[in-house]
Amino acid sequence: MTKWILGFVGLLLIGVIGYTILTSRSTQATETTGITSAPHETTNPGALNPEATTTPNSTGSTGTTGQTGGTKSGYTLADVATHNSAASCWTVINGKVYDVTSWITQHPGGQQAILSLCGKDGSAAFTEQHGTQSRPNSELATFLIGSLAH
Amino acid sequence: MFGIPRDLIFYTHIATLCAAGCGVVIADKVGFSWFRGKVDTLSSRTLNTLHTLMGVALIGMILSGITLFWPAREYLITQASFYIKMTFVIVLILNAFVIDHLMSVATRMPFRDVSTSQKRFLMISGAVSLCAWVGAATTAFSLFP
Repeated sequence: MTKWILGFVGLLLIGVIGYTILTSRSTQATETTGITSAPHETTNPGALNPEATTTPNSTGSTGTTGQTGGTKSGYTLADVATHNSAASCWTVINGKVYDVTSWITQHPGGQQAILSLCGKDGSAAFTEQHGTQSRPNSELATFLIGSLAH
Repeated sequence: MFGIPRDLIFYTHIATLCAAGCGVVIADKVGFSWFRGKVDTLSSRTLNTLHTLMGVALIGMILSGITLFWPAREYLITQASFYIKMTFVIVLILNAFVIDHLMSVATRMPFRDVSTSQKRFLMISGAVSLCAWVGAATTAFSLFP
């Protein structure tokens, strides 16, 4: 009996990882398609505005995680700033971008400490509170989604 | 995930690993006593209990591991060491089926009477099991330095 449950759980593991890889790749492929279509969208120069000009740059390259707003060199602070709520909370710590949405309700120090960092560079607050403590830094690493664009 | 505190899942994962580690040590001790001829045969009840316990520990580790993997999936699938660890886990699952098939030999005859090919399979299976458990645990530490 145990071996059949083990077999099922093993297949479940492979399925979950496979699903994650496939969805991640398909999201990246969608973004890549966005790059190639971007020049066609700008065939009407009159429609081009400064924001549109930046669009191919900000979505045109593949992000490290396949999330929207990624760039080859990383996410911009503007990208991060759009994720400034409990529904989607991104923060920047020491030049890296983290999606800490799922951590808000689990943070031992309370939700407010995380909510105050949403959409912002939280390097100073994080360093002040946790410094080089290994556990918070290990936890933080699990939420990494990319680097901050330079 | 599913409203279960992340820390609880993490410590369950570690506790199950410790239980599995104890199981590996006991199973190896029992196996070596048969291998070295200290006992002619092993009790099928002992073997089944140990094998079931190791299976349950492995199932517990995989389920808690999936729960830990999900929130960090975007990070983990970019890490080579994650795939190395998963290879060890798959090896452990496959080896559990091999051990399930082979272990009854130890309940029927002394090690000296086992055929050379079966001895080879038994020793390889035991070594693979130990290496995969140590490898999977060690690789995990490089994922979250």
